[in-house]
Parts: sequence; structure tokens; C-alpha cells
Amino acid sequence: VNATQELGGTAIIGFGATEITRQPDDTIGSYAVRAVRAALESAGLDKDEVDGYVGAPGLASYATNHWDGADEVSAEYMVSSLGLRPRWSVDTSGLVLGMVAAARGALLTGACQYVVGVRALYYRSGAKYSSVSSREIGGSEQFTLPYGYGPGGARHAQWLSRYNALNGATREELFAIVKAGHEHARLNPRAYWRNSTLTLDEYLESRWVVEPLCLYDCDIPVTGAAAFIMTTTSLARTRDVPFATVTSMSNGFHPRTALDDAGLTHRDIGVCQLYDGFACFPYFWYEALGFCAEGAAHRFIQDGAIELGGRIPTNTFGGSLGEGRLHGIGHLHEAYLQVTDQAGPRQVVNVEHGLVQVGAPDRSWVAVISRGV
Amino acid sequence: VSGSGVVTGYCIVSQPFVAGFVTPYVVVRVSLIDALGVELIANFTGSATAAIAIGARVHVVFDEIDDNVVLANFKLETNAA
Repeated sequence: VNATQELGGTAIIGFGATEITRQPDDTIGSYAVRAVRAALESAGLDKDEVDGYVGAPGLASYATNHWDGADEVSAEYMVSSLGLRPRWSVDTSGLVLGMVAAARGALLTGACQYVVGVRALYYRSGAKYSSVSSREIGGSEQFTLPYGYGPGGARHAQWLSRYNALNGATREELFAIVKAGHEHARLNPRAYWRNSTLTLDEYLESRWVVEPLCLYDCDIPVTGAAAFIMTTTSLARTRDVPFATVTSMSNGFHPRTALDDAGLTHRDIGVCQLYDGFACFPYFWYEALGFCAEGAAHRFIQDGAIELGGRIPTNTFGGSLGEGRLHGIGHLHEAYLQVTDQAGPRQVVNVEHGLVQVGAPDRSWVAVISRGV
Repeated sequence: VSGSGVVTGYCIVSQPFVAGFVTPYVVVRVSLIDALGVELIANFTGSATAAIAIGARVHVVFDEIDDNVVLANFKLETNAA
């Protein structure tokens, strides 16, 4: 029993999500509002019962404008659009599990009872997503951006170049992560790549974005929104809906603390949702969480080990590589669906605990999400 | 410091994310041999992009971009042991 379990714990009692597209016909505000309404319906909750709000408006893109309601949504925008009257609200810095951590704190300290959390991203096909053209730069970027180093995964490509060299890892091996994402996307009607037939040859022949990362190693920018409803575990038990507990959480600097606090090891985890903004990210977590030895992840993931039916099914909804870039709320959504037995054709049998990790390896959160009882 | 270092990471940028850069170009992470723990981000110059490798010995070159901007870049060290 960890400290938050002693306090009673928190739970996710509903989730809602919109369609995912690269040709949005509406503002992001509209997507976000629809996601919240779907989440409320899923939780069997009236909006007047919501007394907490958590969002993460940032990081929609580096290159486009930032207009509240048009391509991003603030707490103020959502509260006003939905007619909420929260006792507690906050906008966090962008990681979905950071939103959960904030909501968890608010619920356990009694600041509110029902929190709605919203993540919405806007992208229109053809728009530059990740480019910069500034002639002035300050802060730490003054030492990197003048060398054309910054957006588009350069940092992670450098990490992968070193990983490959030190461990003898190959592109053919990395494809296992992309393949799992695309295979699982075919079982997710919302996924951008739901009709994907990507082959190893097509993958190997695709253009470089930032070598050693090719086009399919980068998640795909999309428009879409999803929302969750969190409450205390004791209140969750009073409602007639399946729920998932947020059993434990830790910052990515202490990846195994989430497992330790839950009294679990990686062997107790039935399904993993690992953030895959770039295909190489999961390497780091299989090693850091103890699924395999350091430097061995590229071999560990082979032969279907991370696909449905494998040793540790991963990103069973397609991940950001297959479903689209919703900055991790898709990962949390899938963890909730899996432990509440609502994942349909991609349901893993008898999942008691799922692991969710959101963020790049050096700025991240890890959580154990469990079947609520 | 001597200006010599070892490449500890690299990437070859093929998509024009930053205005003014001609793709593809190489961005290296260089660990200075005589300043333990200091790593610099820089461009790799003077060789074909394919010449870059983890562990390669490199040496600084100062490229004048304009009257006000000088960038410290790295090229392969020719007399490396």
C-alpha cells in the first residue's frame, strides 16, 4: 500500500475522444468540447458535477499561430465553452501524465471531486509543423539552433545514432516498433493509419527526416482531442461504470518507482503504452523498466514480442506512430480501455495492470493504471 | 582547451526545419577531450556526410557566418592517432 493508496487513491471513470484527421473542418475548440461531452457520457456524469479542470494547451506546434480556441485550448476557453464552474483548474505544461498527476493531487487533497482533463491538438495538412525561421535566439537554444539543431527530432536522432553504434542495432530491428504501431492501428477505427499496409521495404526506402530517423519513425501530426474524467477511488465505486485506478506514478527520472510503489515488477504488467513520438523512444523504457537488459531492447522487441499475443503487447491502439500525435492522451486512453476490458478487437486477455509512459526519455512520466475494483 | 573532441552523437538533417540551412547537413555532439563532461552541438564540415561516425576524432574550425557571427564547427582530425 503506497501513500496515495492510503489516501484512498484516484480513478479514471470515463474517457471520450473525437475522430482523428489531417483535414479538420472545425476549430480545435469544437473538437475539445466534443471530447469532453463524450467523456462525460462515458462516465455517466452530468457536467454540473464537474468541479475540477486540467488541461495542457501547449506544444501544439512550433510553427503555427497560437490562438485560443482555434488551434489550442486554455482552461479559460474550455470552462467558458462548456459552462463549467470548477473549484479547481490548472493548465499544465504538456505531458498528459502531468495532467493526471495534477488532478490526482487535487482529488487527494479534497480540492475537488470530479476532474475533467482535456488534451487537444490541431494540425492541418500542408502546414509547417516543426520549422523555425527566427533570426534571433536566446537561452540554451543560442548554442544549438545556429547549427540547425532543434526541432524535428534532432536530439533523438543523435541519441539513436549513439544507441545503434554502441549496441549494434539496425533499422530492420527498429522497424519492429513501427510495425507494431501500424498493425495495431488496423484494429483501431480512429487511427490515422487504420488502413496501413506498410512493409519493411517501404519503411527502408522512405525518406530520411533526420537520419537515422526516417519518415515512418516520426509520429504523424493530426487534429484530434480526447478527454478523461477522474475522481477518487471511493467515489468511483459509487458509480455504475467500469473504472481504472491510477495506482502509482513517478517522474521518468525514477522509472521503476511507479512499479515499486505499486508493489509490482514488469512481470505483472499485461500491456504497455510507451510514448512513441519517435520510434526509438521505447528502447529506453524497455531497458529502464527492466523488461530487458541495457542495450538489449533492439533484440527484445523482435519476433512479435511487442505485438498483440506477444510477451508484452505495446501501444495496442497504434501509438502516436499509428494512431496519430495526440501527445500521449491516446496512450492513457488505451491503458484505461485495456484494464476496463473495453478495447474491443485489440483487447489483451486478463489485464490487471497496464503501464503508461508519456514524454521523451529525458522529460517523462510513468504510471501504473489498474483494473478498478 | 585544445579544440579536439570525440563525436558522441550525430544526426543528418534532411528536412528543412530551420530556415537558411541547405539540407542535408550534419549536426554532431562533440565531447571535448580535455574538458571532461563538456559537450558541444556543432555542424560537421569539410567531409562528405557519410564520413561521420560515433567515436570519430574531430577538431574545431571557426566559420565566419557574417561580420557578427562566428560558429565553432568540427571537422575530422587529420593527424589523429
